[in-house]
Amino acid sequence: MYRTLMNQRNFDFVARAVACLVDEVGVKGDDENFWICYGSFVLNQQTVESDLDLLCIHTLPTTVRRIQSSFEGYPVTIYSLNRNDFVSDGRQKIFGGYFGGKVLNPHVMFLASQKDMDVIAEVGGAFIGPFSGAMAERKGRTVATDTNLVADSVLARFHLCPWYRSYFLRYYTSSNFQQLWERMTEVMTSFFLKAGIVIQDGNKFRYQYTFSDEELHESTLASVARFWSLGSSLHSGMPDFPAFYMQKAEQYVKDNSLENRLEEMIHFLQVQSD
Amino acid sequence: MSEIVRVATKAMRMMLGEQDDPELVLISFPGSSGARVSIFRHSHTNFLYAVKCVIGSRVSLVDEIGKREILVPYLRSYLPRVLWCQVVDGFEVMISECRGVHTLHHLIMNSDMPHRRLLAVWKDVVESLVNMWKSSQHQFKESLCPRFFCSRLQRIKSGVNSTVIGGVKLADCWNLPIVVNGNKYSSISESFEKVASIGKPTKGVVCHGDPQPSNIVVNNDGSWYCVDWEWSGSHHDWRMMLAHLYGWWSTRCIVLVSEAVVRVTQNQLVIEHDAFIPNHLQPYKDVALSAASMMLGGIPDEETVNDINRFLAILYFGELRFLELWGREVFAASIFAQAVITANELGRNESNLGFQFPQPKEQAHV
Repeated sequence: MYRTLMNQRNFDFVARAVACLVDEVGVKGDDENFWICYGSFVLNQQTVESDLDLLCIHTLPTTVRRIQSSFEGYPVTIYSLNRNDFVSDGRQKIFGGYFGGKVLNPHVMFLASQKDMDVIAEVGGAFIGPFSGAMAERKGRTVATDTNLVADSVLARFHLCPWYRSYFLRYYTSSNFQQLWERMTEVMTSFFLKAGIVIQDGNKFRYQYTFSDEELHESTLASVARFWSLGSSLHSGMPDFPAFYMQKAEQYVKDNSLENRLEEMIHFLQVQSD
Repeated sequence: MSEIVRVATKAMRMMLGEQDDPELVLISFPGSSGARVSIFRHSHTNFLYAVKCVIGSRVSLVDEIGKREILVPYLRSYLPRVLWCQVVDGFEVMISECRGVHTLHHLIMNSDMPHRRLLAVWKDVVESLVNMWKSSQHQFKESLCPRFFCSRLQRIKSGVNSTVIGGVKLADCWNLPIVVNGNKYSSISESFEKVASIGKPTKGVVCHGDPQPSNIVVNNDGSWYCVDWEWSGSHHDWRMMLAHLYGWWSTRCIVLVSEAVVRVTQNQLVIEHDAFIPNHLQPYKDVALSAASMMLGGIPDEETVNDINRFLAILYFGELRFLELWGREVFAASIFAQAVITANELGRNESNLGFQFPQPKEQAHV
């Protein structure tokens, strides 16, 4: 999806890591596993302190796990989940988009077949699609350009998790944001089409289904509750995990004096969504 | 009030939800990550709490808590419970239960408990670690080792390169032969080459990534628990871990007889120093030493001993980076000399078996 943005050195590094980390998850060749790398390595923004972030999707009958490991001196975080759980986090939002949301970020797949790529598109699109439609509805917009679609999807993520703004800000302030934004536009549009969230008419798109106010309210609450519940559970059962995550996100903006850039980014997204 | 104490106190109040000030009992020296731990006592219940504050650490406290889980199956009763973890005024703060105020290192150095009891604690620690190594053995994958050798060596090399000892920049004498107390050794550059050729173990083990007496807290009843899990992992090289258990005594417990002299003369880096490990600490070193035979069921072969010595030399070189942080710059020449000697005496003779700290003969008077 975002392979063209990832340099060859990082791609090779992650490919080596995946080959070495299969035993950590316990998957074998016939478990139809595929891996998704997201986070700083995809955009070549990693520092010596960065984690390598991986999702491993397989057919093992295991519950969702967060595995901490290392590879060549870099800390590695692997989320291991089976295909059914991954798919359930799309349309059913069973984990509040904990994984459906991750594939909306720039990512590169490893060992993935065309069928796997279709699954990723379906899960990502189906998870955020109805919320994106609600963002368009708020603006009173009935048709969308491809740029509108991606802006809707990012604003929808902010709706579900305002602290995601700090994460997205890293993309926004990166030197190749324009290129990234163009790629995100192509990817989100294909996700929405694949998941049947929008129908295409020339270069315009129309959301197929829109939440009522009550549905939006309930779906938002359900997703938020599921997301943070899983987050706490996967972080050693830390009851403080949501507070920690939120404070860290706010701290990033403060530490880097990015308050103005944050405002500018939100304005940019609003304009792109108009 | 220092910033750390202010933040730690604020965190305590946030957790307890009380207005009364918890009593600050102790604040630790910074660890190599710069983390500080403050110990508080609750005024009503007398419970002790350890408050760890870090800023800009390589390993986030959330991830450190995750790594604690790796140790749980093996060291369950030796791990304090984490009670709270949040961000306070830019610091990551973790509060955990605290069953003792002092570390094993502090108690040993200050002789605050009879050494017989402290030695028993140290034996138990080492045996528990070896049991964990034995029961968690699996195929070693070097690239998954949390303390990945190549990166670590590179960081240490770069740290040594920017070190100044006694006014001498080590970068300026990187390729000069080194003379320690009249004995000639290879240059820093060659010493690093020698330690870089480390062999691979057949098995990897689960371990706390920095097992040493400063990471062991001891209660008055002699029970202990281990803290600082940030480097814990499933793919450790037990020989590196053993080097940590053993090397501690040679780096943190040496006594200086006189101030060292470091100079460059006749194209040689000359070090004259006089340092020793007090005799009453020798049994602690011996216990650390015994971990190798416990692990292998006998005396380790020469290759294993040489590799442990390589890890030791790297550990000693690595310590140079933190001496300023700990206010121990005065030990730099002795620790550097120890690193050079250990790197150069690899496999040279039988007396090197057991990777003992070579001590000057005149120490017999201590």
